[in-house]
Amino acid sequence: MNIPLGGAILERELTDLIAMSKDSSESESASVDSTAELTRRWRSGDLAAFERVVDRFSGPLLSYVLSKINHLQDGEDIVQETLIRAHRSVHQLRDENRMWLWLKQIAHNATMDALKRARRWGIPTSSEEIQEMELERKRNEGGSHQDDLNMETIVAAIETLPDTYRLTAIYYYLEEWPYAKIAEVLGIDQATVRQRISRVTKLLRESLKKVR
Amino acid sequence: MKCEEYQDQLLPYMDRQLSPAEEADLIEHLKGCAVCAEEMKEIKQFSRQIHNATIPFRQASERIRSHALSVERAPAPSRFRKFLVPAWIGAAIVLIVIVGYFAFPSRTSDIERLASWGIGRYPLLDQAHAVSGNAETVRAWFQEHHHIDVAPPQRVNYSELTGCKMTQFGSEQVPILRFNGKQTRAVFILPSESYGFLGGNREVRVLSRKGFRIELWAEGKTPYMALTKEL
Repeated sequence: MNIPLGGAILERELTDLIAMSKDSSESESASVDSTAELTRRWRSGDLAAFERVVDRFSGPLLSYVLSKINHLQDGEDIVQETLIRAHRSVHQLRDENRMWLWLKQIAHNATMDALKRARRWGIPTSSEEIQEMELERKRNEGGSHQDDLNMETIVAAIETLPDTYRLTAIYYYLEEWPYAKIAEVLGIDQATVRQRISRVTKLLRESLKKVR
Repeated sequence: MKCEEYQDQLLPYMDRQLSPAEEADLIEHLKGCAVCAEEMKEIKQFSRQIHNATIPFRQASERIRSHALSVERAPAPSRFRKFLVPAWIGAAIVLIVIVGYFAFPSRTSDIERLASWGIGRYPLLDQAHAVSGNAETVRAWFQEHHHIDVAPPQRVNYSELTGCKMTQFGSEQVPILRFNGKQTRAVFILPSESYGFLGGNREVRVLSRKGFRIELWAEGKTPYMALTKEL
């Protein structure tokens, strides 16, 4: 993975990144059983299980990483590396119900590695430098429409949603999955998906309105 | 039904998730209710804005998926371990051959030799450029840390050179065969069955499991090099 591609990496507080423990309630609680089963199959070397993990968690991992480093190309690299690291060390995943937290921890570590590497290559990591680069970029873009939402803002808003709604928001708004697929992956029925999307939409509209 | 309940149906309506009866009821309501009709407009606009702004996200997550699925076909670590010792012995032999090559240079030019290996393009400087954003800095770095201009072959830290993390082989050290400072050409030998990234979806992998067939190839904007000679 190559971070130093002129990518702007925004380093957030280390404590913010490390604060994994408080997320322990998080996840797809409704599909705990299927997660456990998926983990077992994955650990036993079932590649179809890995495919499902990739399908299910690429989006949530990308969203998580982007909320930390704010650069799509770098985020993509980190998630790719995360998934491969996870696949190589899936035997270390002991608690079958904590797959998401485990993946997130790996993503966190990969993010820290990327930041270290960026520092070694003298890539700007302080927020002042990043802001300066962002301003420069915006100036070059010729100023986008002020009312338009940008991806960073949307991802940031989604990442602050309550646990129950975050995955729904990612699957619906970022991945644009159909209701049936969201229901299947989250282990809930479509009516519940509808309710959650409705709630997510309200929450997002509120928080994005504040940003604008 | 109250307006609020109708408003909850607007998004499902746009997503074609309502039953025909619900849909007919909602349409009827929208005809007579300016508030809900306005809400409909706003939700539509909101959805469209989110859709437009998040297109790069979906493109990236698609790339991640297809990449991860291609990597999954790489051998699992446990299967790989049994190749580890033979692979290192093979690497040592290759290194000896390489050192021999440079100690007793043949008359064949580098270019001919590389061409006989089926190497078409190998713009290392482009790659170095991508690593640091400044080709001169990278060359200076090579000089300072590895003296690559003067005395190949050398072993350099691959991840420092390319930003490529060697996740499988247990070592990030790979020999560099040749780096011609003037013409900025270089050839890497990677341990077989290793792989890594060069950033983005530009991927560097070694495909073959047998011996030291090397296939380095990169997807994306900049093709780096292809090396397909069985050593």
